[in-house]
Amino acid sequence: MILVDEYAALPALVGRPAAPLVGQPLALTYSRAYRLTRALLDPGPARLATRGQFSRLVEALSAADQQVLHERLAHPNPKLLTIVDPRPLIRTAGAIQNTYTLSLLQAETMAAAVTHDWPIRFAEARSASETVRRATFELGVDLATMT
Amino acid sequence: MSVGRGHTDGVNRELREWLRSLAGHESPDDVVPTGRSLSDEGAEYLERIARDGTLAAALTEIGANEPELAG
Repeated sequence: MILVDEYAALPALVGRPAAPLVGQPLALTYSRAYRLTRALLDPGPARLATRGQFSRLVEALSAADQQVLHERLAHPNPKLLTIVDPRPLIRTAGAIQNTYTLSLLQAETMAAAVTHDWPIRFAEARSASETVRRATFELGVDLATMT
Repeated sequence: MSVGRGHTDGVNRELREWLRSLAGHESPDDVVPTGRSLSDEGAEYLERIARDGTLAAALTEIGANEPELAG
């Protein structure tokens, strides 16, 4: 299993994984699945729509495509992408946040990698901050970016 | 002792019903795969926004407002 960021997960969800990830089972942490889902939510009917410009992202999709996308986000094909159960990772992620200045999202990714001994492949360099890189080095996590 | 539903004045029913409609299945076992796929145009769009900085801007916006979701 390979842990990925949202930039790698989204193409994989729609059957277009990046070349280095073709045929590989991918995993996305709960926090990253949540953030991706949130970025791709339709505006809805009410005041929630005013909280971010990102709600416009799905406006380019047809209603049918939006429906399929949300089905894929909620229940991805496990052959393509698994959303990692966050519950067994709570203590590890907490300990990582007590050790490094990382967000919950970053700490959960690190916790999944350490716990399951999964490599991390980010599609976006900004996913690998200096602190993330230091933590992966010190914890023996295999991290690479594909950009 | 009964538990009431609390106040109902000022309830935004449209918002409430929309939020309820977004909930997923409680168990993956309840999911019936539809086998539907995105259109080529839709898939190409999502692939493109993942790479051209559009998705990055959206995720950065979320992270800027909520530091625990940054990174």
